[in-house]
Amino acid sequence: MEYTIRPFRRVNAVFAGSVLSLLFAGPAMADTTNDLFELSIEELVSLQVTSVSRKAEPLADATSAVFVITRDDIERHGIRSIPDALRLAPGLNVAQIDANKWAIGSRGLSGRYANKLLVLMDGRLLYTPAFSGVFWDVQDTLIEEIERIEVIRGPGAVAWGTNAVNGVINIITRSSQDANGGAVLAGLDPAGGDFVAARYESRFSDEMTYRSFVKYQSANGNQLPDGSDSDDDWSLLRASFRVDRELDNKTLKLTVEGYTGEMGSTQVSYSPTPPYSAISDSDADVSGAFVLGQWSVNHNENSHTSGQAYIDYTDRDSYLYSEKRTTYSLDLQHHRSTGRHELVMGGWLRFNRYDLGGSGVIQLLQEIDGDNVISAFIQDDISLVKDRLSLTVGLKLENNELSPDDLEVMPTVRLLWKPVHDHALWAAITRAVRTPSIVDLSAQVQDIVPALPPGDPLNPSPVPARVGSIGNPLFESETNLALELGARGQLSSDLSYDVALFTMEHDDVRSFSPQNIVCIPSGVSYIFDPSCVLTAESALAVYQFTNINESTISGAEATLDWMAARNLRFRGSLSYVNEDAREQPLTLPVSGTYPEWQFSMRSEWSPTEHIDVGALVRYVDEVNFLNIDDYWQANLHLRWRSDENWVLSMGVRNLLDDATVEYASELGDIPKTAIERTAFLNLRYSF
Amino acid sequence: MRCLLLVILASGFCVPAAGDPVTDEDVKLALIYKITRFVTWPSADNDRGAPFRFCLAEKTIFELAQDRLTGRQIRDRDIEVRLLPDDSVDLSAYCDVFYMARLKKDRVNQYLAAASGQPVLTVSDAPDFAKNGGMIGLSTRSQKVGIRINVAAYESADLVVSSQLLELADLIDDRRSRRK
Repeated sequence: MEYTIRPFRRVNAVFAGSVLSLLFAGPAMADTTNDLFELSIEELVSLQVTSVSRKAEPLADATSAVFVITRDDIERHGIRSIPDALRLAPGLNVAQIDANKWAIGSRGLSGRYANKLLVLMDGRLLYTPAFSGVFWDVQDTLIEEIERIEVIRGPGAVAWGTNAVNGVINIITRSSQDANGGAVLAGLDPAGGDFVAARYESRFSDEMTYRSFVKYQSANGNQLPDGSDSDDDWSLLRASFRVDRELDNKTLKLTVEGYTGEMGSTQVSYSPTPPYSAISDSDADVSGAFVLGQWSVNHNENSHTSGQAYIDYTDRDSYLYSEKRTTYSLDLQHHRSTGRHELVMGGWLRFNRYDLGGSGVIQLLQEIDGDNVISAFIQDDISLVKDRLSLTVGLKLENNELSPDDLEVMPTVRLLWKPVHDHALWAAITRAVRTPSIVDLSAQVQDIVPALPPGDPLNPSPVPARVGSIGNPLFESETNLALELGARGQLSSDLSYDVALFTMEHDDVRSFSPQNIVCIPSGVSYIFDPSCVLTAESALAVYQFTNINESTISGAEATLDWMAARNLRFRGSLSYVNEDAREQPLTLPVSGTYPEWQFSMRSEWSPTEHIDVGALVRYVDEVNFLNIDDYWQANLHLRWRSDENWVLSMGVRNLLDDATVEYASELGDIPKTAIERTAFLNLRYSF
Repeated sequence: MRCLLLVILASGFCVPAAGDPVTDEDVKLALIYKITRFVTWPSADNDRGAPFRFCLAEKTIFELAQDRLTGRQIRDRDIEVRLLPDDSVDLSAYCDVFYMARLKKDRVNQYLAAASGQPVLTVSDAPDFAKNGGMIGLSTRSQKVGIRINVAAYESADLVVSSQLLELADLIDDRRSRRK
């Protein structure tokens, strides 16, 4: 089986298959293959094999905190959604808000509207410039299509661009080159989503293969803490077609995909009558489609060029917020190694065109109907001492129309040192940037949250206190300077470790500073005439987006990977994040949305050739700001594979509790929802 | 321990469970190593003591094969793993086994043509290799590696393959059985 060399941009995490134990092709792997040579031919032809894709660069040489979630991991744990898959990576906080909303972040600063993670699928950006975050409910594919998910914690700015402040998540889907026929799949999973799907993969010719799939998924909602229904049910239909072509030294890939569905949601917002809080239906109709083309050419063994272009359309329509956006993107990259240098350079052009609307509750102050981004980067990996010491220097420059600065400058310096065989140390200093979003710049949002009734300890006035926010056309990019240190290696033939330490200075952190308090309906400013409240219906406190806060975030992540037996593996990880936010008085706090401690332990066991068991136990510390208690959670999954065509799997999620509140929207606009315990069953038939 | 249990249960196989990922390429290398025991080269008498030459034409699989095979022996001959310097080398003078892995289809066909009739055991995991005249094709089906042997191909090179191996493989163009 032949694989093209992967573009360098992804080279910091280019691996599939069981990662840590293969890191140094060391003793753990050698034991296995030595045993292979003792087997007879009959035994060899009856072994189950996995194809491990060739690593263009060993994971051991990465100068960042990287983890790769493999297809094997995903299958062994019965994962059926991308956020669930992300729970398999250490150092990420993945919290389910309700059936279709998630808060995913890393190293502090999480939230439903978290904006410091760059998320891509096959190189296609998944975040919206509207609020620089990700609508996770529509980021989906047929889970069987995922080849691996590369998770980089920490700033990945040079190779990836702005928004990669706390991390990069790159979801990579399988090539169709195995061309191995079709499958029908179905699953019963009331909370996660019942689904039916079909996929088919085959060959047009020697060089050209294709695959297509259709999937329909639909989920019931969860419950509110009082036991009532939370109206977060949803459904999604998706269809996709992909062609892969490999000829001589060139590869070409084309994907066309579309989806349509509905996301149930309730909104807690202002009501003019006591108790000034109303729950209303804010269901969203969602749809989208994209065309993605990728190509790469190997000029010779030392250089190659690759590129991609895509058009991505998304449409989201709810009474509260509607967005129609089309993104046109083109990127090119060239990789060359000469002597001691491995150079990568490239550039990116991106045009976003959008039509944003909303109810009276969300309005744009300025007409913004599009933005353009142009960026270029160069990175040099210099081998100072062969196989022992290397220095990486990189720079990315970006011009983003939404940012008031002409040029965002994102440099990085990284060092990799292997003092002894089997262990590596790395260090990195990086500057990263999060450019302003449309909401930061020009949205006027009002009453998206309930008002504080008069008599509430926080509301001294005799009228309900409403909240609104206003964008700031002079909003600046948030900047981040990070220092990271890491070590990874093999402690023995079956035990390996990976540790990362970090400290980051976040400057110009988005905050909300009080602007004014306005008496409604007279419009008189309370600050000038406090008596206006005596005749007012309500008082509206207006906050403006501003950049005056700072915070220092430090922490550490440690992972241990133990191959207890040839068919039993344990992986445990612990992470700690400390936020020291220096907030200006009167500004609304932005820290405290991330748990201080997180722990997870997972195990994969194959008691027989046909049966696999996966277990995952997690502990997540409390989230003070949102009043969420700490919790333990356990998932268990069993999979049975027949010799030929059938795979049956069943499992339980949230074994330990009837329902758990994992997170809540930081705006308080969505009722706190408890995620229920659920049992699920999946079936797959291949032909 | 598990192996012992299975042997007692009379299955006789010691199968590592899928929890321990065994790559298809490692299995293929181990298979070729075993297969050579069932093949006799025309120059067998003269070759005693000389290194057994295992050729590959692609650098990364050459490095993997070197790692796995160096230090082992086939019929008391030390295995020498070699990387073909270029396409014009005289295969029979350079190689005893030629494993065409990680190569593009047209290069595989080129090498097959060059090796035709030569006493070099040609092996590959390229699709349809045995059907196109290769001696031994290795293919992965339903996550297991299978062996396909083209009898006419090795007979025309004066190689002899033991019937023990033929029983374990799918055969293509078995003139032998047609003769019967």
